[in-house]
Amino acid sequence: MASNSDEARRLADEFKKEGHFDKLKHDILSQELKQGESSTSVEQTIRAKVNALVRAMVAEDENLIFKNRGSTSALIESQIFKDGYKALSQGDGGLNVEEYIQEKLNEPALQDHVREKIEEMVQGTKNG
Amino acid sequence: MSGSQRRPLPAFPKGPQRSLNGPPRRDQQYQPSYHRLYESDFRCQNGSSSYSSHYRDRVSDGGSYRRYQSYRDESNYENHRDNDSPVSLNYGEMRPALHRRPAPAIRYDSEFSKSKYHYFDPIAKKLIHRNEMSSWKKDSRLPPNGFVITQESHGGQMRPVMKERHPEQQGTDPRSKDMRTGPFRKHRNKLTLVPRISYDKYSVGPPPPIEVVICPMSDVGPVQDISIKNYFRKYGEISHFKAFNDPNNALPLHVYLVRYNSSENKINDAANAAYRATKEHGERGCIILGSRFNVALNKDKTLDKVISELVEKNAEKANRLAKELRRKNEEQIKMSKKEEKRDRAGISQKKIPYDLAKQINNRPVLCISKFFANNHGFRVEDFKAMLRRYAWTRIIDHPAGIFAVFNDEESARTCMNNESGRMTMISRTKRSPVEIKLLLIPATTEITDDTQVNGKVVSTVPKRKTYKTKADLFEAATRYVIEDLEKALHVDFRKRLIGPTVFDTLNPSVFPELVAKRETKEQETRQAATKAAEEAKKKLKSTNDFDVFNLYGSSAPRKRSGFLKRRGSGSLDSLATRHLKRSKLVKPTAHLLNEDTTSKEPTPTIPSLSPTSKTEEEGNSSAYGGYSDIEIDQDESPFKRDMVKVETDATTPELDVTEKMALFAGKAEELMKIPAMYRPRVSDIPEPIYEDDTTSGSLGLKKLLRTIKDDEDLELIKHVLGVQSPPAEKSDPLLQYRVWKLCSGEENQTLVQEAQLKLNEVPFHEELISNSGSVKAEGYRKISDRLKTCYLPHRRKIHQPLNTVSNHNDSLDGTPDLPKEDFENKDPSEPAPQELSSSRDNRASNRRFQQDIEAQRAAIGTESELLSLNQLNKRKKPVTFARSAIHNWGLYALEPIAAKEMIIEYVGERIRQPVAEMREIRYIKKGIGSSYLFRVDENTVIDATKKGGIARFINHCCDPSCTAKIIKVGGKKRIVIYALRDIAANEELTYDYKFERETDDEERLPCLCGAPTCKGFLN
Repeated sequence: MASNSDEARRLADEFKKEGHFDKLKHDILSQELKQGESSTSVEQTIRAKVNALVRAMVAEDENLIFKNRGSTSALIESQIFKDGYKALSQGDGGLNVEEYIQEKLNEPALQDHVREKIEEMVQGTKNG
Repeated sequence: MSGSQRRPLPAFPKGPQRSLNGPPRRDQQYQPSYHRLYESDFRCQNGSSSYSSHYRDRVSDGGSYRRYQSYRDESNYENHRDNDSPVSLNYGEMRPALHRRPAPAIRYDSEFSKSKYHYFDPIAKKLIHRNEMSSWKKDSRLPPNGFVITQESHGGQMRPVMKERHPEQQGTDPRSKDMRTGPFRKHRNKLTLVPRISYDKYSVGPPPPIEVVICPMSDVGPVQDISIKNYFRKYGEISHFKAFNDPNNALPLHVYLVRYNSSENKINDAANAAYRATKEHGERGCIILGSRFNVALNKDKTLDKVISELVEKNAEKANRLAKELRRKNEEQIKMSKKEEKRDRAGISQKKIPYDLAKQINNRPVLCISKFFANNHGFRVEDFKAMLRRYAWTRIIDHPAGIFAVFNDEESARTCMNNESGRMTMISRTKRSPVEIKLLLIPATTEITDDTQVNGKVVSTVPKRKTYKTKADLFEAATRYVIEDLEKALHVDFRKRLIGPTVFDTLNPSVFPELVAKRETKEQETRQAATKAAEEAKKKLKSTNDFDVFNLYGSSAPRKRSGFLKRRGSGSLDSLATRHLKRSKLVKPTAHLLNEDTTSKEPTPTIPSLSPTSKTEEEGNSSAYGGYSDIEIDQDESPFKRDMVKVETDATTPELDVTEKMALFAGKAEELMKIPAMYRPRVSDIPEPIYEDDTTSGSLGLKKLLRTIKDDEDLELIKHVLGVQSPPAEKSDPLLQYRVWKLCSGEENQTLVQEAQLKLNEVPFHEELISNSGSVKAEGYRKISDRLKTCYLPHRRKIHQPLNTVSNHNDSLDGTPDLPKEDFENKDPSEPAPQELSSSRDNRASNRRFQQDIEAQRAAIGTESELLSLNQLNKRKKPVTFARSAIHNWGLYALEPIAAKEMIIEYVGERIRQPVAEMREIRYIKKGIGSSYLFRVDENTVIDATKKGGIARFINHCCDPSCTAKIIKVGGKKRIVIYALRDIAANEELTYDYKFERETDDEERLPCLCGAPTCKGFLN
């Protein structure tokens, strides 16, 4: 209902349906990060960081791996999410996820790109 | 008809009778019965007027009416001819013309028939004996017209009285009086119905109606057509049934047509059915489901008439209603216009509470004030029920009131208009109907927006956002996209990146070194546990060489033996364990000092001290006063020992030593001189050195010796007994032997007693001790069951914790506690493998299994006992049978059982009652004393004597732990034992047998359950 009443909403939904949204997301996630000389994707950095964190936790308490895996991992996840991914941003190889997302989203290039795409879409539907 | 039948005239004497009877009876065609009647009449009435009158009467002769002429006619004829008497003439004239008979004529006036007449010459037409006859009226007293003799009462007596006849008066039939009293036909106001004539091929006219019309007498409630049909089915087979609707509005008219079925040429059956259907109900009508109906035969277009009548009536009613409705609507519109104005004013007062705003989400709301609702005890459910006809979306209970939320204002407004102030609900507090006022709170923001900006009618749909330019639109769209993107990114980070990574890294296979470490550790602990278990076993074997309880169980006796050891001289291992425990309780000395006096730990050395210490003391201090000053110095006079009865335990000397060493380093040497026993201690109250062992009763030699602990005691006892000096030696040469004998005897006895206690926990009963010294020497005698508890191990009381069940798991559980605890502490989170399959899961899997089996059975298509599953067996609890304290064998729980859980089914042969009776007698004859027959109902008994499950071993108890219930499984009654309360492992299971009370005392079975509430008998 709400999307029908709002033209912009409808457009946004259409944008998603066309697949541009997922592509954007994928791009952001797989963007290369320049860290010193080596460059890894965001996804990989975060994976590595999380892996290290969990390992550290296990080293502290061995029993973690013998407990119920599902509930334990949920607990650890909540630890990581706490305070805006604070755990991830600390230490070397860390990445402030929140900041990163904000930074990426506020890039004018991205916004322009989105607008272009939407305009194209509108044009396409009108022509079609 | 001829003269052969003629009766000879009776020879009457002269007189009135004669003359009355005089006329010849020529026509003898009257029946003899009539003659008799006439004669009897004549005799009794004796010439009453009945005779002379000609009257018609009925003679019941084959039910036919027969007219007869009185003899008067004949005499008439006679008189006519001869006497010309006025009487007869009179009669002739009086007679109505219709009844006048034709003048008599002589038919047989021939010579031949002349002889047939006695007194009449038919040819001459003369009376033969005319001259010989004389008038009866010779006597002048007699009235000329004859007389009658009537009964008259003269002074209370009935007398015959002669009365003159009055021929001019018409006689009355005396019987007519009687006739009037007889039964009369009832008054009819209607013609009697002609019996129904069945219709056949000869019948003329239309066939009889076979249809019945059913129409409502008054207003009809909800009646299903089928119930009408079923009702009329009882009169005959229905071939056609039709319910009629109003052609105007298709509503049911509740007019039905029932046509009864008739086979070929048998219209009568149907007609008969229809006739009966109408006849039975008549004018009362029939009542079906509370509604009254008229039932009529369908002839002459009854149906059409009925329908048209009803339709007309309905149309009229509809018209009336429509008019009323229109009028009401007009009124309502007027009212609502007024109300709206008022509402608008009221709306502003009432506002949606802030916290509800989100839930209500700008939708119109009807509100009932909370104060009102609370006052009358109305709840949300009540309103839900009351407003069920309206399209509310939800009804919210809120401290501010009850809010009924509507999706659109239209329905809210109609609801309010229809119900507000009109709807009544029964108040819970006042128990009387209360009018309810609904207050409409419209979707506020919408209204203000719309009215101000657009001036449009109220709309519930959120306002359509508009954008001035395309650029704006795109801007907004991008903004939405970016917002969504941010959210999606966060979700992705969490759900797709971090979550799985954490999960994956937590995999134990990622940490092989840790797993390996753990495994080795586990192995170690397991080895340690087994080792400890083995050790414990060995120890058990060595210490409990004589352990009767290993016959039945092992855990309880172990505890008991340990207890005994502690009581005894104190063996090495018990001391060792105590030290172990003590070491665990190590605390700072300061604390120990504080707590020492309160410590309840008994001194292990004290009991064993007595013999040795004595000698020591004797050696160390020869004189009594030698150390008395020190004791006085410590304010611990030995005299006080008996007087100060403080129940405190002495501290352990070992600890004392260390404490003293620490505290009085300077005085250490001085103190060391004093024997350990008597060294000073720190305490609030002076303590006795020895425990207070005052005992009552007679003391044996040894015990007496034991109570005398030191010289002081000796002195005292000497003083008490009045013995000044040791008696002269060798006064009795056998003294030493006697003392030894006494001592050894006592020792033996205590040994026996201890053994008995160890065995049975109950002292040996005095009755069982044989007088002759040996039970074997005494011959056969019966020992009561009660006494058997003294020496039969399985006869001990049930309410004491005991374990008569030999349990294999026990030995594993019996491993020393320490390693087990350690094991548990280490990893409490890891679930035990046994717990993984709960009883519920078990049952679920059983059900699945059973479904499989059932499916297979269906596939095979044969009934096989092999495939039938015993559902009850799956829920069975682990139980076993063992010797029982109550009776012979008993059933014991192997695991703790919770209350209300099913334990076991009582399985056995299912037999009938007579068979059970027969078997019972047979079993008694055979000597099977125990009864294993369980009654299910009046004619079913389950016999577990020869074939049956172990549930039969369950004993009776007056305070039972279980109960037997009869439940139906697959249509068969079965006996199932359920736990009444929580049952511990190794506890005997019992239930109440509920035998009927036996009146014969000899027949009663004593109950040995030993429960505190035992009734003493089973039956």
